[in-house]
Amino acid sequence: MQHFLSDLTKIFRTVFQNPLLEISKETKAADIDGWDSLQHFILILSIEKHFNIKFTTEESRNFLNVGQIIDSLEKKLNHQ
Amino acid sequence: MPNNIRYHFATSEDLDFVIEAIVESTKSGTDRISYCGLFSLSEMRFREILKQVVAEDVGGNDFSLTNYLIASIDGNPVGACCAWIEALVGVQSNLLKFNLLFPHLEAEEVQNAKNIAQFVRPLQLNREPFSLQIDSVYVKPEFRGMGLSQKIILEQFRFFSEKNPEITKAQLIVIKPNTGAIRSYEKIGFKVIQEAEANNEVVSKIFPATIFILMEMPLPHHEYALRT
Repeated sequence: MQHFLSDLTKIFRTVFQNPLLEISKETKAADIDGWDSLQHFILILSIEKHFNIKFTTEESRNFLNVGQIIDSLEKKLNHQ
Repeated sequence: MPNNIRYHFATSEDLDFVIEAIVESTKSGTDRISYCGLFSLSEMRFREILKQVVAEDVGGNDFSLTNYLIASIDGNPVGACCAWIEALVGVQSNLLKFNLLFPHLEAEEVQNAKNIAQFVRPLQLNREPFSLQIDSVYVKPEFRGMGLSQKIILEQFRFFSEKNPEITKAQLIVIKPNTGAIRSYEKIGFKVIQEAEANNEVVSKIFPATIFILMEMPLPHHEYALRT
């Protein structure tokens, strides 16, 4: 989990152009300035590119906070 | 006004009509669909994706089948209106909707949205959490001018007021040039509270309008009536 959180932190900092941004499993859109629907798209695209994966509808529909993204990454990458 | 109007929440049998409602209300009398411009999609491809997403019926946004109330006359659907409570599951409807769209899009289509995001972003209006959201209000052209769109909205108000009496506010987003729709919503009690403008070439080329308006009204929880 820590490995994913560390990678996601780097991605979040790049996407939201904030080198000091800290995230946790509980972080949701309302907690980060600029996390709107368009930025959300860019974020998910960046995560897919970074991990070289493609999320399914069943996975992405649950992306309501960072923890749910990590859960999907764990299931996807730890079972490959 | 015909007196044989019947209302029901959409089922899988209404899927094609709901798609028509979403596409035509998004166009708002123009030939442009915002999503097609944003992701560089043909209308046919957008309809294909939309059909899959709407049929999933996730709820909490305007791409969800059973959020649609359908008005029928003589058994034929003539009008539709979508409603949901914003961010009830803890996430904005726009984010939820984009989550649903994302897996259906090709990488280059998503990339297109990324490339033009900076031009489109000023158009975004924030829907208030836990308010009732009205969207995709649509009436077939031959049934317009009878106040049907207002009647369907009021039916949605009645349904949600009974089920969720704690909801005290309704909101909707409309494009500024659509003055007919704005007047129609004002007759119910909606007032303009915010405008968003993106006056740039990209938006002018691909969106149905460069100004979007957020309207809202209180839900007084008594008999709703049109203002004359």
